[in-house]
Amino acid sequence: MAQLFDFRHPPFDSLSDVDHRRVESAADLAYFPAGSTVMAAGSPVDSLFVIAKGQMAEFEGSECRTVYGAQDSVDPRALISGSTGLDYRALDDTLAWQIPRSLLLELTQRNVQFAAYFYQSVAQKLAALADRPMQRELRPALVAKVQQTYITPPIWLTDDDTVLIAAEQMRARHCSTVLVRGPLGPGVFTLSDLRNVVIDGRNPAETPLGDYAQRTLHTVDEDAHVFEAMLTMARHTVQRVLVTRAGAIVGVLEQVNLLSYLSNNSQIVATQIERAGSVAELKSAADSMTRLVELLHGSGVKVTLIAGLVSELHRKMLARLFALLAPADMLDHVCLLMLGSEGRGEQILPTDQDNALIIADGYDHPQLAEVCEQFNAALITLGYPPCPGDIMARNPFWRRSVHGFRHALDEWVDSASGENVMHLAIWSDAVAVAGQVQLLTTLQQHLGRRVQGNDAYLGRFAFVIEQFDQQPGLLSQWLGHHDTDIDLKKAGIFPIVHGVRTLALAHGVPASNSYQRLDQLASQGHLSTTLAQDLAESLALLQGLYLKTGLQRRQRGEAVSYRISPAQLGTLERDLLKDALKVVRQFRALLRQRYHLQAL
Amino acid sequence: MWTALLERWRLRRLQRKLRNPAYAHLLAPYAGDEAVCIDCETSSLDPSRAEILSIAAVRIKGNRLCVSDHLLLTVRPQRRIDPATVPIHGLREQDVADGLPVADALAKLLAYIGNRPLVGYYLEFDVAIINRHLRPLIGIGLPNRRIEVSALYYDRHVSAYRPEVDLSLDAISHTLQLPALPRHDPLCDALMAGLIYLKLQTRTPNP
Repeated sequence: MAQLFDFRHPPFDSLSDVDHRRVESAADLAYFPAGSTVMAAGSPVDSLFVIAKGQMAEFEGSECRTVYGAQDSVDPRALISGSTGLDYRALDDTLAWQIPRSLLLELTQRNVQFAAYFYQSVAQKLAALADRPMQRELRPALVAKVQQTYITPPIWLTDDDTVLIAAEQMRARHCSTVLVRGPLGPGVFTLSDLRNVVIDGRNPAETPLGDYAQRTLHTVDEDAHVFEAMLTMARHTVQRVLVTRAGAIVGVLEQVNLLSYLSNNSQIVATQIERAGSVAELKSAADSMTRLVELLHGSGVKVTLIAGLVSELHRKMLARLFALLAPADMLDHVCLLMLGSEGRGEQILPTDQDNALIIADGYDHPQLAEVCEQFNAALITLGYPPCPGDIMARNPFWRRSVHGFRHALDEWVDSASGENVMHLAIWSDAVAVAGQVQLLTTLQQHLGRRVQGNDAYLGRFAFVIEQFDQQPGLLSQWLGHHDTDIDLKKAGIFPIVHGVRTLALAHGVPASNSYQRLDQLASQGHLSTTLAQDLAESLALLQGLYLKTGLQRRQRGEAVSYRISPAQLGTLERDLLKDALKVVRQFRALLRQRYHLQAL
Repeated sequence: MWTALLERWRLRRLQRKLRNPAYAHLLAPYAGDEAVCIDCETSSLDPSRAEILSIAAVRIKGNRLCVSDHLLLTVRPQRRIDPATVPIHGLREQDVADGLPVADALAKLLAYIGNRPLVGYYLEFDVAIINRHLRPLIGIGLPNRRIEVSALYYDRHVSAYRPEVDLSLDAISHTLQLPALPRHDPLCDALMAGLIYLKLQTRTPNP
């Protein structure tokens, strides 16, 4: 049977093939002439409509609130709650797939990403009610565990305690809920119950809590996903749920706290890192970071944005780790550096660690070597494999005084062997992570004086690109036949990154991120704006492909690598890749001509 | 009055010819609000010789095509497929080798459609071929009321200013702004007929 239903749109793109077949075999096709009612306010909702052609709109009274077009789902919120307070009408003659609610609810229980789509709309609705700006991208937060949110510890009173005592507790502990224990079992007493006491004219000092406490408890397990808590609140229109661990109540999750958790989602991992008091706590932050990358990528967030966010977190992570390990005053005399792709802020999945330490001239500490050793070892446990070239602070080659590094820089410039060029390339991407930034600035100024205007050296620096050159025939053959793997790093990422690095070095551009370097080179007129944009887009595409295949490999438990096989790519991606490689060729030609690379 | 009498006369005649009393319910007048859209793929375009290769049927209830409850049968033909038709329906000998014998397929079809009206595009062709196989089995052809969607379309679009109406499926689905479905897949063709029916049936008349 030909495939009728288009599964390429959210949320259906997150389902497996087996579930696709289930949805397809349960879907009917419904037709609504223009102006007819699809769902009326107050009626039960037993199916979701996915528009195949035409338009529907959501009305509150006579006011149109939202218009839905082809591939839109109408309406996830109503589906979850099972009823709707709004009218849905067809604006055009509309055809829509009608999928039973029972099947979709069952799928949400088995597929977290699919579920998050539906609960996201519930979250936005709740946020709108709370009149609070909300981040557009909520999905990562929604699949977090309830225990990661702000759960307030329970305040226990008894049935015989008075309402007045409860009110005093609420004021003292800044909360709106107390729990009540009594012969009838546990209950909840909230601010709205307090209001009822006042309205009923009872004396708070004499009224026992037992008279007003509610015995119907809405609970979620602390291991449940955030959206489940949200659903419980939405379904029962309550402002709080009780959080349980193995059936016992351990706290209260207030709707207000849940909403602020959702709106502060991007801060969560950062806070987790900053508060970490041990390597083990950093490890759990590192794990949630990986999950964040997967979810952000899965939600279609642009790769440059993910890289920006992640490298910020990497920096915090390294700084926090070093501060945990180093004696208190050591940071006043050293500067911890991230080098290479870490320094450029383009490393999305931790591949290997590149770091170094600058020590102020004249400073020494008996534990210095030991701290660095521990630092690199701890990073390995955090999921950063050791650098094969040993570019790590524990290696005395990358742990030097300012004087020592100045000497090294001179040597790398004076004798431009392949190895020395790579050392300088890695160094020129350095970013200070912790300690005294001034130490790095001094050294970079020294380097600038040595290389700017030194075209003979810059030529040899740029020449590495030629050595990485792939046979152009081989490339087109690959794109035509799709039977051999391609190395994204050699074919595109390295030539762009290194070429941009060369130009940045030549013109004293201080940024170390390739995209920022391209921006600055273009605005200072060292590169045409068009080429700079093309290069930035090509680099983003290549890094995006690397991220995509990297995540897939990691899910299969394989090592992350830059090689991709064309079978993994769609037609569009293959075309884009072809264009990107064309831009790389153009850039190579420009460098070749500017630094006379053929002559070398 | 006359049409009702004629209809009773027609049914009585069919009742006499019906050989299998198990199918008497097909001749009862239909009282419900459902219809069934159908389409067949055949081994040739000559109704006197064509064999059925596959049949699709989808119930139409109110404004809804019950795709989830569709019937799709592959039929093993008694004679060879005309090679000229293979590119149209895409069914080769090996594709239909595992199909049902035509008698079993028709029994399933009758169970599915019951006495509901039939909806189709050039329904006459499909029904003629089905009836050629059905008469030897139960004595009568399909007695169901037939709704020809191209005729519905013609009635709606013909006028004194525009006596010529393009009745090709592409033209109809384009004019009615229906979504493109893969053609010459019997289920899709049946659905397309169903969509045209729904659109023309439920459209509110212009004021």
